[in-house]
Amino acid sequence: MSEYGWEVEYTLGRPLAQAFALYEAIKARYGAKPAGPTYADRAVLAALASAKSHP
Amino acid sequence: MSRPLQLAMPARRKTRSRTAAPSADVSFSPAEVAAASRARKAAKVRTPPEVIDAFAPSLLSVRDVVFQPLTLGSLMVLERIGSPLADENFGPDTEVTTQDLMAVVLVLTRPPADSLAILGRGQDEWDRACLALASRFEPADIAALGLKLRETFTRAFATVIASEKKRMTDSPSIPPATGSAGG
Repeated sequence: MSEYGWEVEYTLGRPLAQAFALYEAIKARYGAKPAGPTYADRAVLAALASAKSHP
Repeated sequence: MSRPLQLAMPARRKTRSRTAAPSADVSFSPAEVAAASRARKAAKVRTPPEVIDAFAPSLLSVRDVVFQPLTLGSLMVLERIGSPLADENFGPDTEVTTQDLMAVVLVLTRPPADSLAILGRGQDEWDRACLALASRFEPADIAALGLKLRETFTRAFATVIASEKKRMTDSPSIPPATGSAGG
């Protein structure tokens, strides 16, 4: 966390969803392959599911 | 009527045993393809809804009690008190008492330092704080509390990108409280 200038207290107070989103962004920035469906993939899957249930 | 598009998955390469793997046929209607295409285009120009929820969350509440988003600090407090909701083995069969629910509500309605300060004054003080909080709810609110807490935990992990197997709490189901303790 020191790499980004975050104090421990500040880090502990961040909502987990923010921390995970930033973590995924950092991983993507460094070229790591996503471990599962990305946010865009999920949007497509949700649209497909919605189109299937409401043809 | 238009014919559905056929997307055939290519068969795997021949293996040493020379048995060809069965190919899986997946078909989508034109409407589904169009919906997926629209979603793909929108995803390129719009912030993902999970990320919007993470950085601009709509806060959940029951009566006048507003839940803050789950933080690393609040999760650690829950682990400190041995909350079953912070247990990695939490599942539909986990027993959750009313006191467990109130402890989570207590942690989610104040900064972690405040929760730790109450804990530091002893178990009796913690139990009294949980009881005082419980008095703000009607018994009929317990189901709504369970749903809102489930939503809070689901939102906390919504931005994790992981395979389905590794996913921590895709949709945790909080069982109904047993009412054996607390309010």
